[in-house]
Amino acid sequence: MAGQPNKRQKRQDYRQAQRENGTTNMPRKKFYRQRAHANPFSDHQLTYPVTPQHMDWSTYFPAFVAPQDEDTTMSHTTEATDVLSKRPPKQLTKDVEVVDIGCGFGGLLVALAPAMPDTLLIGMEIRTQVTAFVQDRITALRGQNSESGLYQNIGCLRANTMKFLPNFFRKAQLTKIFICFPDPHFKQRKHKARIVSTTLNSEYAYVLRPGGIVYTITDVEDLHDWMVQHLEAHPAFKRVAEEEQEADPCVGIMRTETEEGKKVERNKGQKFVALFRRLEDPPW
Amino acid sequence: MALPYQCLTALGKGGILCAARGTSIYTFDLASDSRLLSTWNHPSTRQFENGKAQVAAQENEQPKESESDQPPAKKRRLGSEDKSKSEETSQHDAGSPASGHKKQKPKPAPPRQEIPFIILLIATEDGSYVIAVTGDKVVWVFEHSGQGMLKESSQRSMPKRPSSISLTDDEKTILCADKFGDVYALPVVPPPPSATDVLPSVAPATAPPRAAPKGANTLTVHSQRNLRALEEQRKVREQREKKAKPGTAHPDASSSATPEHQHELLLGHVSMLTAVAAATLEGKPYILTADRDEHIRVSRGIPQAHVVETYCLGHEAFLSALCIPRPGSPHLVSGGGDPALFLWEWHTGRLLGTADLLGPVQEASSSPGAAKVALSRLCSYDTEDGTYVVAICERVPAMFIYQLHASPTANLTHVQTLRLAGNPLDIAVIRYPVPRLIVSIDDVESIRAFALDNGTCTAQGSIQSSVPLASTSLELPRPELDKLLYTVENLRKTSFEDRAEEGEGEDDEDEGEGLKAGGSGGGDGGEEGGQSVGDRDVNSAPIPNPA
Repeated sequence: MAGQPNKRQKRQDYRQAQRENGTTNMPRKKFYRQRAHANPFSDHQLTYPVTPQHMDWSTYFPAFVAPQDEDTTMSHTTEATDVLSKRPPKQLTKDVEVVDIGCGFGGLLVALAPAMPDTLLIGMEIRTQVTAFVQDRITALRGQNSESGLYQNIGCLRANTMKFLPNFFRKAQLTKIFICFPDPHFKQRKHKARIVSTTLNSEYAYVLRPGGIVYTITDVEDLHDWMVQHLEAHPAFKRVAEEEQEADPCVGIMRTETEEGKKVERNKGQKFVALFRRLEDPPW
Repeated sequence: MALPYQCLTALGKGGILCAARGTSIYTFDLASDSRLLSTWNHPSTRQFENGKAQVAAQENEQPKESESDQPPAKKRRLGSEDKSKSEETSQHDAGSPASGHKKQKPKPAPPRQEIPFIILLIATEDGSYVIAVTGDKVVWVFEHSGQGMLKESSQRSMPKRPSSISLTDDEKTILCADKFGDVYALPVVPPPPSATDVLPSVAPATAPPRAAPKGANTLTVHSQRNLRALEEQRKVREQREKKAKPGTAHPDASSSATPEHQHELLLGHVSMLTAVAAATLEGKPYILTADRDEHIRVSRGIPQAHVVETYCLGHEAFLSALCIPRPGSPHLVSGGGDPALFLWEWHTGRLLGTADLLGPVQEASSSPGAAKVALSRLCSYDTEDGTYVVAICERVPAMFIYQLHASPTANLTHVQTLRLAGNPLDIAVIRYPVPRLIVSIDDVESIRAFALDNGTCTAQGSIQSSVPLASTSLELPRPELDKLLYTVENLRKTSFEDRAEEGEGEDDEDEGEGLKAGGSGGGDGGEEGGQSVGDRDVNSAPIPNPA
């Protein structure tokens, strides 16, 4: 790996220049490459909030920070945060309601941002370099659109959602979850690493409010069948009928605007879409 | 040196104690003279001399392996990196020939005959059933006569190593949590064999068998190398199918790891589970699960275990123990690698308070500078003046007693530290004929009893038993034994360089074929993703294995 230090140096120089040149230059992917796989079972060095109340969203959505008011911050303080003696983070005027799990290079976020300007969308990506790219991309877009105020409603953070989704979101906080072109994990012994599984679906159901929707798309038929089978088998989800699916504007965006979607398009591959609605929990 | 008792549990109202030592289970009559009532030995200990030879052989083997400058085998590395995996598991994996890596190893790791220590031991409230889990991933159920005699009732192999077991409140179902993060429900009394045949195991990850695999195809992979690999696979598959035709079943069918008994997947975390507890509130059952990533999940009980009611979040280190102080209680005490015990209102996920554990540990510890706590067990008991929770920590020769005040505001306070002659391994409360706290101590081969009166504990002396020496002569070198007895501290996350920062190989157990993926990417900005997905997996034969 003789080329390594050189490459790292180039990356550093580039990032430095990117910061100094102001915020309107779009980042270039070649300085943010990272191999496509991350082991979701590994510990990594992740930062994640202890509870959703501890999550400081203000750095991701600076335009939506609620005016600081001592009284309101106090009223938001939960007993848990008291006991943990942590100062509550700055509050936003609204909650994050849409999540793109495994957002990759952020194509979907960027396309959805103007389509739902009043909703906060967060992309969650496990690869550090890729997360940095999306963050720089959002910064650049915000710089370019400072007059219209576009792209203030999207953000990207590094996280392992398979482990830490409930650290970020309260029960029923979300209205939409996007799972676009996930790692197929072809090998049977790797199936537990798939982003859709019987047991993980319970966590998606937890953070989604009843009526909320899980969007899935993949170019691997086998994985599509897997996701359909596992989400349909879960009592909390019901597949959305095709008519309604095609009428959903998010579906079109998901098909054409993700990087993977474009790549599949170029290669004339297939795309398999399935949507699932979160049902009410049965009485207990 | 003889082995200590690593697991204890009370058996019903007869004053009988059930204790596990090594691969054996004993029952003692504590109501009278602590007499040994019965002994059960793991079947493997019947060819015991063999096992001993194996252990000795490995002792010689191990240093050589670490001295060798060859890159360590893939699976081995997984074991040492994933600290939470116990040594014998990784050893076990290293021996399995199934892994498809073609690196030349210095020598094949010796298939280790794992010593099937009893790792978990519980009993029903009335003492009529004892459930034990051994290191070979087998769940054993024993019928208990009431007089200390244990009768083997069933043995069931689990797909992954169980890490915690519990019983539902109706005591008809075993909740078995494993290192893979899943919780299975097993009936205490398995249905008769005929019924089992009809009821196939409800396996989580089995797709229905299908004719042609729809994994990678020419539309999902594009690079020359991937396409070549795909073509290779197609040929291999065709050949296999040809071969398989004369036979009846799929060639791999016999090697399927799915156990054949009835076991239903209830829920799962993407993290190692460390504790599972059944709880009841207002007549409704719930399942509480704790993992290595600081989560306590509260799910509904069977049959709605897929509904997550809430999480109890606040821990900042791994969890290792959960304790519901009494049946029907809205309170939960939890702990693990944090310096405090946490008190929760579990059904709302509300943290009610914490109680310092590190302070008492430092006072009691033989090495005064202890900065970390590895809680190993929690148990609770009621007396007339309140509810108490007892905690023991790994390698701290003491028991820590906390009182739980339910009102006016619930809190947990440390009330007493009981020093011990050695490190405690397990604790149990025997309520009959008089309430006593029983603790097993490492190194001194003894079980000690403490009387529980008016909320204070007083030492009562040790339970001396006449366990025949021959049955306990399993000898292990101390480091080996420590690995089996002290597993909690290994759950702690260690900070290591995150190689992802380099932008190159993400940490992943599959190096080898995986790392090559980066090179074949080349293209115009779309190569992050599918390309290398195909590359890696295609190369390593994704031919699906119809279950």
